[in-house]
Amino acid sequence: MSIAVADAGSFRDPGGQIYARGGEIYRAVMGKAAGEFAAFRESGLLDRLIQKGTLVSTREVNATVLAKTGVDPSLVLHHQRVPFISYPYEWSFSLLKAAALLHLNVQIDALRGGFSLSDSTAYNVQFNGLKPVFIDVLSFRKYVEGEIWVGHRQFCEQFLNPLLLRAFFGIPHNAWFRGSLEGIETAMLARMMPWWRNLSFNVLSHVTLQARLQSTAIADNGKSVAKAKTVKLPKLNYERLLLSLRDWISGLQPRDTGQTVWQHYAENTTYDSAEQKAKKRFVAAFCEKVKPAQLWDIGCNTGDYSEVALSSGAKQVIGFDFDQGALERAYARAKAKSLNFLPLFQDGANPSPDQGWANAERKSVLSRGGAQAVVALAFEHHLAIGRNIPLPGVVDALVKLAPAGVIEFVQKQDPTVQQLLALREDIFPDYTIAAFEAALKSRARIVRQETVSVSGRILYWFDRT
Amino acid sequence: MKTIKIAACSAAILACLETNAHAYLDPGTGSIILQAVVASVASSIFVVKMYWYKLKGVFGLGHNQSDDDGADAAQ
Repeated sequence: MSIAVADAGSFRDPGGQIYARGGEIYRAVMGKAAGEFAAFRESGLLDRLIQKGTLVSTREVNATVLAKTGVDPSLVLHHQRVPFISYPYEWSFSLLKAAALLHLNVQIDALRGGFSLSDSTAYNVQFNGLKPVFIDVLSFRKYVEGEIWVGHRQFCEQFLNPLLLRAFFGIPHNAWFRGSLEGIETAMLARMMPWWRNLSFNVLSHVTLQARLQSTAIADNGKSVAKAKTVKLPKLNYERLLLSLRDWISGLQPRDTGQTVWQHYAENTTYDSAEQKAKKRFVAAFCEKVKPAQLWDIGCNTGDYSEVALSSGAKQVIGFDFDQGALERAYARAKAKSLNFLPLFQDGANPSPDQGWANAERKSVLSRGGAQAVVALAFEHHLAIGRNIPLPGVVDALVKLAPAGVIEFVQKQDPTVQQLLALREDIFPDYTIAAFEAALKSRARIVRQETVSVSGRILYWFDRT
Repeated sequence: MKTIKIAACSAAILACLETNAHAYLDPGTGSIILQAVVASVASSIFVVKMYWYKLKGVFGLGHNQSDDDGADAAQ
């Protein structure tokens, strides 16, 4: 049996460390944290939250599973594995909002059960399909009468501020959050806020006043710090603070910034329905044969083909797209139809890197892979033509994602490619079917291919096993 | 010229001092003071708001809450 490997992103809390072994996830719990966890479990709150589905499934196991790792934990926990780890800078507005509400709900339940959370990091929320789940069982501490909400600033920076950025200004949080892994500083948001927004007590307090009090604290030689040490928050006010934030956040919507490029793609597509049907048949046949436990839909758009994949043998789909409008529609589709489909933000030409402490705390999207199949429809030309990435490089990147998949090649005469080239010189003499096929054949076997449109779009089913 | 140099040095030192003060201050200080200042007001506003939602409910103007609000949370 293999030796458990420590997760490089799990180091902030000295009370615990995550390990992976044979595809299973374990948590070593050390010293004082073991006592706190025992109190949490004995209170019945652990089981209640797990039953409710808001906390990751957790059970104690024999410490021998972590043998030879060099740690000597007080106890070892086994957690149900989250199918795909995602980060807040990959979530759409709706996903971030769902995660924020889950965090508040967990805190409200905890407080009512006599516990509080030691922090409010968004990285403690993960998604199972669209269902958010809280994954850090060591965040729960016995509530002490009068204690303040220690995670308030972090909650603002990692949940509230990114949501307000989109809701008030129409600016998606993803690029900012990816560059600033602790979230969006309240001081920054406060600088952007027009005065009239302060007519809302929520904005006035959580944004403007918080930023002002922090900047005062920087200049007042420790007066604020001395005061902060004495602050008491009555439990009722603590709970109502959480409830009022939940009420505020549940009403937030992305500011309508007009139709994004692909938002109405599914209805207003350049294919006629016969072509769409042909593509769906092709994807369905592929999924029926491969039956992937996890399929990645690259350029998932509103999730049309993800849905087809799920109804023809794929157990779960992780979708990626760079268009915020399409991601919202994909979310709405998955929610309405209860699909095991998680549509995430990702720019194919600049995928999430290894970053954070030691460039290892948050992992690159590619190293988080676990797909048995990949589908990339109407995608490659965005990289090969739109972003000047050499065609063999695009094929190589897609084939590496999974052992089998479907890639659509869009020929140069296709209206969408012509649109991409409308205002620029055609510097792509090597963008040809022959070059695409050569690149694919040198990396995988072509199982099947089918021309699906009059403009000559071709679907290729590849297998490199 | 000398005056300019001195001014530039002072400005640089001041900038460093400010950075240091900023770097050693707990980033949550403002958040904690805020909780002392506004929690009771926020709490009262919340109670009034809940009555308002109830009142609207009576007149059939239900509170339009998003379906993503984790309705499973304890109410």
